[in-house]
Amino acid sequence: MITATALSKIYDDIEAVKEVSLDVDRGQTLGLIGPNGAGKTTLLRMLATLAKPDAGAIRINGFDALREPREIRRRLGFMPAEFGMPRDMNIREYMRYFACLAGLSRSERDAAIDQALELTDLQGRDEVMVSGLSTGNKQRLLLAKTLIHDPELLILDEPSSGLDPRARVEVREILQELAGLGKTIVISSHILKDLESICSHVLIMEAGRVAAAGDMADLKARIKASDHAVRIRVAPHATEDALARLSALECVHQCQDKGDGWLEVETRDSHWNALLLCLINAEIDVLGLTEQTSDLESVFIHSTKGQVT
Amino acid sequence: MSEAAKNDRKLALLWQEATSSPSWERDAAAITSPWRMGLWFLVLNGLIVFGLIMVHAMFSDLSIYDELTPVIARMGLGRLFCGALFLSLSFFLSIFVPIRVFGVIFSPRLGRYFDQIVLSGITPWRFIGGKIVGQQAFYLIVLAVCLPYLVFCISFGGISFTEVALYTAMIFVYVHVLVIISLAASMMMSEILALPLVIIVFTLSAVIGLMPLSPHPLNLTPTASIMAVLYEAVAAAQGEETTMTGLFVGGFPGLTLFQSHLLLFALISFALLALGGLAVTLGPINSLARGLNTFGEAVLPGDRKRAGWLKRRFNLRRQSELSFLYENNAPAWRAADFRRRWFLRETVFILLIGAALIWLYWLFASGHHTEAFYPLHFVLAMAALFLNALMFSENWATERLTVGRWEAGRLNVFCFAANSVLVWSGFAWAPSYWEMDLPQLSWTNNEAFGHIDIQVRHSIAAGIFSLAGFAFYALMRNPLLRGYSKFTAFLFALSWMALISAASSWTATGLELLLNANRPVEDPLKLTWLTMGNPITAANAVMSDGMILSENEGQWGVLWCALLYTVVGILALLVARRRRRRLPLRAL
Repeated sequence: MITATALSKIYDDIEAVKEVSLDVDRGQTLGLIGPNGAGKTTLLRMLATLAKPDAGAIRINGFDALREPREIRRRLGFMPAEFGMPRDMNIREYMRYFACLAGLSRSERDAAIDQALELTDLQGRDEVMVSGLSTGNKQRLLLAKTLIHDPELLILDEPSSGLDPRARVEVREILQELAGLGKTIVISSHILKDLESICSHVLIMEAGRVAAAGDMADLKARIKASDHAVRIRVAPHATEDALARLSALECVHQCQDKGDGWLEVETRDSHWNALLLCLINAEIDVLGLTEQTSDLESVFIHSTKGQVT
Repeated sequence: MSEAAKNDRKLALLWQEATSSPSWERDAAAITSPWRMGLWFLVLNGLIVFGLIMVHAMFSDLSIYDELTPVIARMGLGRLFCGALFLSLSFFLSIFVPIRVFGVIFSPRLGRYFDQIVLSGITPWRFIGGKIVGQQAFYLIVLAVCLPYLVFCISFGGISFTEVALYTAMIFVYVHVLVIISLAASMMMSEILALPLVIIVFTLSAVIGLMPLSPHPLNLTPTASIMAVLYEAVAAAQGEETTMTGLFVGGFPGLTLFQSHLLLFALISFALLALGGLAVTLGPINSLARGLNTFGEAVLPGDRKRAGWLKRRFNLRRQSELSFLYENNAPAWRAADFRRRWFLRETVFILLIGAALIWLYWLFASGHHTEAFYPLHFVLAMAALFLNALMFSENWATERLTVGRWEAGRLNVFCFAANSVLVWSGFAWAPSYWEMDLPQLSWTNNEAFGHIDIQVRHSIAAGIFSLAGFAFYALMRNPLLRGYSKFTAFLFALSWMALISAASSWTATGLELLLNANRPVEDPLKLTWLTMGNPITAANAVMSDGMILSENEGQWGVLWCALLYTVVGILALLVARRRRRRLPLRAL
């Protein structure tokens, strides 16, 4: 669906995006993660044909973004992070305006509008003026507008920014529903929990470059394979002794006291038997043991170095 | 499918595009909202009543009552009131139509949702064309308000239904001219500049139309045609004819003053509609400079060091955003962009030069008012060269833009050079070709023309302007190859031209004062030829008082002027060439 090769974009004297390549297959949901200034928005705007790369090429659905932007625009729905809205329209008029822009015939419009409003939980509010909507509802309306022409590809730039927790959950559910409908989605967000539940693939950016990319499960597994963490609880009075004994083990990479008898142990491999044996031999009571699983946050922390352009 | 059926289908598609435009739907909704309709009704009624009161006030003036009575008797009261009504409408439309139209791009840009419009893939014509269709609704409201008054006028007598229909048609055409020109202006320049410019030009033209003048190129509004009826009646009441020799300057041969104005208004309206339509369809040439390759932002080298609002570069953002909208035209349309654009521009330029020469001939062929020939001749030649420089120059971002093997900068230079030759030959040879009685046209001493053929004089004068035009163009290219604003480059070149011609005069005066210190005033050093660094002075001297070619200082003056502008032009071109080489080639 999307093939971007060695994309670069320079603003002033800053290289906002440096040789970024990505492939997104039809029906995939790609999450774009990165610190502020990593180049996520610039990358999304290039994909949405709102910025032209200074180097590299983009093909979406077989169309060249530089030569045939109109073909791409017809097939995509782009939701920018910052947007404006006409002040003198109500929700129905707003949707009609964009349905007309998208080229829907009069007979198709009402059905498409109803469907998009229903999907975004805005049905029944047709007469509400757009300017009077809350931030959350504006986001939903923009999403509804983005969906009005039933695009194959959705590019969403921080759709949950500025939303309260409930609205965030609702937007996340809508996106999950869209992903379930088989839409190809590229989404950027700082809320990693949301992305984790929506995305099948992740691209982590830092300082304009790709820090890590791939299938979400693969990335997690890669981290899991490189470092295994386990939390062991021992009797509080034996914490120091346990810490010293475990740290002395060859297979242990790092061991930290987390308080209340909990110790976090990172091993190079799954040597949990050795850990337990060491403690039992020293007659230290083991009160509990849990495996630390890697989430998107740990993938992100592991992949980035805190660089900013 | 037959050719006619194909054309019908194309027209139907075009109409369908315009009527399915979101701008039209929004416009229609806005116009038909009850409070807005009420507002228009109030404003229009107020204006019409004001116009009619003005006419009525005229009758109350007893001092001119005796003179007016025969005029009204000839015109008919109904025609007089009808004229007042349509004059009021002309002024009303000149102000309110541009105001209604200018928001088409401005509002979404200001509301920050223009990117969403662009991303819908809508073509510029479909988006902007909706505003043209929207004016039909506005026009219908105007007609609806006027209807009772029109019935009232017809009932007074003196005017037929056909005449009223003709006036109505004129207003209909005028509304469309205003819409198209306003849209074209808002595509080509900032709306904040374009709106007052369009209102001022058309209102001024409407005011000029009130004056008793023969048909002229500023006849952009129906006011001249409407007033012509009154002037014809005034002339007839005084037993005179509205001809060149009569009280009022006359119309075209074989036509009444009203018919002449009407014909010219129709021709000018058609030309403006065509020009405006082309400008809207083609749009501004795409700006593909690297910094502008981003919608809604203009980030150029050094912007980070700029403070606050200066970073935003509103004019460039607008230009950039519009180029993104025009990308929605089909690729095939864009591939032919250069051919279409330059061919049309060239055609328009040639037609304008032709029209200017024909107008000049028509004004002076009869041998009347010939004292105005040379000033007008010079003004038109200069205007043609300025227009040539403005029409065929682009900024650095588009200088090396290519479509196939065509390159924008080269096309511009080629067209400018060809047009300069055209202007030179037109203004030098057309008067002789039409066998105008040229020696009589000199406003001073005809005998002083001496042995130099008048045709040679014409050629030299036109040549001086062409050389100055060449220098002006070369000077304008330099700032354009560094910046974006054509207007700034135009002012830059104009300043240099003024400086060069003034410096020449200052040098003459300085030398005169320096070398003449110990001589009697009666014996000046005759360095006046230096003052001919000003092309107007030089051309004036060649054509008017014959001080010139027969005398040494005159010959020096012409040579000096030619040399000065050739050297300035060549130097400026060499500098521009160096700059141009550093620009990268860019495909559209």
